[in-house]
Amino acid sequence: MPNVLDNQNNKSQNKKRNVPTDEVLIERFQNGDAYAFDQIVHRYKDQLINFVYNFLGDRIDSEDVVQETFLRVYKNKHLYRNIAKFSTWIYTIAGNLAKTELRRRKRRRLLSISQMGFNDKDYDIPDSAITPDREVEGGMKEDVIRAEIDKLPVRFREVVVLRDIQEFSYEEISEMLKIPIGTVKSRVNRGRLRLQKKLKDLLE
Amino acid sequence: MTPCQRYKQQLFDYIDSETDIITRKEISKHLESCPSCCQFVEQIKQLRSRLKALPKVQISDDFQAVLRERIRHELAGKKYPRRFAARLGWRLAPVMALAIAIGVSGYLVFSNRSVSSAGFAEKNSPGSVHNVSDNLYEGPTEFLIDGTPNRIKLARSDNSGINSSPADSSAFRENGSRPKLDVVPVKF
Repeated sequence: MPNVLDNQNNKSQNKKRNVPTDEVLIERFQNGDAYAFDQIVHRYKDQLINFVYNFLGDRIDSEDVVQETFLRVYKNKHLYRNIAKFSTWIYTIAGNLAKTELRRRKRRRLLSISQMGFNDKDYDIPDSAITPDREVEGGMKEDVIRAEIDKLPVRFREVVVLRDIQEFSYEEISEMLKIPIGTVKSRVNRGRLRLQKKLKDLLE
Repeated sequence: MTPCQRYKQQLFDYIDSETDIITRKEISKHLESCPSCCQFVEQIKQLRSRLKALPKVQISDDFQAVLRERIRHELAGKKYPRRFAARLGWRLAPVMALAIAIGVSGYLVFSNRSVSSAGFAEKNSPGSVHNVSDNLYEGPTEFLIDGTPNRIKLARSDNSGINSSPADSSAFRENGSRPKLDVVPVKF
């Protein structure tokens, strides 16, 4: 998947090759060029699925959310104004939809727990045989990292994903989430600190 | 090891290359003399590179086709269902596999039983002369994979190291005794 830095490099190359920027494409689409929408989908589908997957951890749900994102872009194309970058706009939509899905899941989980009888309680017994370092030895480093990302509170998870996986700048993240840059920085740092503590064995 | 409290925030800015040159030089100098801060910086850098290197998720081949269909539905004012079918499909896969396995094994068991019982009924029909060894020898196991009865194979195998004559097989039919085979041992 091309990350944001790659995208920036691609953009400078695209200018040389006269490849239209995202903003030009959305403008064309706003003027009725359906092919421009196809190009937008082609450019963003891989980036977005990886972004949403870090929230949901399920490929089918993530694809659904990405589909819904493009559908919103299609239906609300007239709402995009060339003030912000197109990438910021589309990531904002995808992020909001992913968070809505997370809330829906939480509600569903709460509902299923409240419907449980006394004898239906699920007791999760931790497997003492599987420690983080043993899992790492077993070649499951990525799974361990993903599991720790999943455990982060959403407010930390989203900024860490945007900053360290998707490689957006602090300004872009601040614009996407509509929070001050200082808050973005402190959330990223707190998220990183939590991960660093949990993944110590893997990082040494 | 935890970093020095004074430098904590600045270390993150240092990692993100968001400090001015003077602060950068100051932190670099501090890192040379402070192993805990140095280790912390290394761990955060490693964490960032590991996060960046996480395996990427591949999108389905039919993603764009499904999206087009979804947009068509939307334009027609219909609601497109979420991918419950796909979900259900995956969850039902083991059940379906089990059902197919049971079906196939059931079919094989019953077809074998009907073949043997049909043969038994034929043998037991009035006027037919047979003995027990007939039933044993002429069962379905009599046939090789290519469908040729063993008896015919035996009759044809005069020059293959296994010698039996047609007379032996006719003797079998008449007496119910198996034909004598002269097996030439093969040396390796």
